[in-house]
Amino acid sequence: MSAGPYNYSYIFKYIIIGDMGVGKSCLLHQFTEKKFMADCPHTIGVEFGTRIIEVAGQKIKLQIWDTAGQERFRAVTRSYYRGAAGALMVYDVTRRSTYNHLSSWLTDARNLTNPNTVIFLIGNKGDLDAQRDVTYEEAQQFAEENGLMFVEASAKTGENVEEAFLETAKKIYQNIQDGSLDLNAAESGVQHKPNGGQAGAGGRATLNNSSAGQTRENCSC
Amino acid sequence: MDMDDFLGWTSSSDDIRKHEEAYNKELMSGPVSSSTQFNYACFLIQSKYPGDVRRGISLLEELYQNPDESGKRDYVYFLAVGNARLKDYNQALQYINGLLAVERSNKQVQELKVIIEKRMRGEAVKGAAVAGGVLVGLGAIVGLGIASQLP
Ligand SMILES: Nc1nc2c(ncn2[C@@H]2O[C@H](COP(=O)(O)OP(=O)(O)O)[C@@H](O)[C@H]2O)c(=O)[nH]1
Ligand SMILES: [Mg+2]
Repeated sequence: MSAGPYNYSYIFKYIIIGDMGVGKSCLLHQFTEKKFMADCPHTIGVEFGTRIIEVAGQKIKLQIWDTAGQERFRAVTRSYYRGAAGALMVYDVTRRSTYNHLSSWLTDARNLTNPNTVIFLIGNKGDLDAQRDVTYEEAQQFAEENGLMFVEASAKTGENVEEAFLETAKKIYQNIQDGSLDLNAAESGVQHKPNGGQAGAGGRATLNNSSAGQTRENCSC
Repeated sequence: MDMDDFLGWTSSSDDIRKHEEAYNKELMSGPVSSSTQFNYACFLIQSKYPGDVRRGISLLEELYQNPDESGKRDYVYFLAVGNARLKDYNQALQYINGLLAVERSNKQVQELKVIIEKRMRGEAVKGAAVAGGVLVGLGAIVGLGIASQLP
């Protein structure tokens, strides 16, 4: 895994958090595979996804830790927050309880990540407008009060899914550029590959396909 | 990082100690709750010390054997992770295949299986290199034997 040039210059670690059933795993699949998986089994502990994106001409590999929302996994999943550069905090616009729990998810995220971790609030299942239980305005206000970025999205239609993942990356990249995120700090959640992004050079002949744009190609969940 | 590196992810010794204390405390005052045991086991499974991983495995096996338990798929999944981390790939695959027999299309489990099989092949390649070395050695000896029989 270590030999040869990387075809990306940075790795950003993301976590996806929020109550069970809000659509965290579906958002991940929609982002990595552009597909909606209607009936996925509950995540056990944590699931992974990667995708390479481009920000300001730099190739960045996102490594995404999709955590299980079940209470029984809380202690274990909390330990995975360590070193996250971005946190996507998800609620379900049709289930008020998932919105009411946001402050506890936010407290966890703030306590267990570093002060520069970018937290992005996602109101998922935006396609189910008729069953809406949380207004856009109140969530917008919650986000403003807590300094979070915010969109309503739909893992089903794909609406705003790219935006949420990409805007988070842009913000992290901006924090690197203006020096507020120290890459040498132990848990910055960002790895820099100094000779990354070099095209050509024969590529990498390893079994690891995670650098080939999108992984998870042979899954049919 | 991907699923592959997840097997290499290690829990901090602070976390392990914290959950060990909770476990021991409950143990002193009666039976340990399954959530306390599960948490402690998960952190042990991801320890960098094989001894911890083994202990985590036996705690999970204990939970699994309890007929009242509802979280069996979780235990089996972490048992697979623990055994894979100990390089006991055959045992890990047995757990994985058990899970897949019930949830054929579970992508998270399928991915773990791919990684374990990849690691197995990696070990097999290492093994073949060693075996190849022996063969070369034998060939040389046989060659010598033949050579010595030449007039
Ligand atoms: N209508 C609709 N359903 C969704 C959406 N996202 C997820 N779901 C459904 O919500 C359920 C839970 O999704 P899942 O991703 O497993 O939730 P998680 O527990 O947060 O990972 C599944 O039945 C999905 O089909 C969405 O954007 N729109
Ligand atoms: Mg999930």
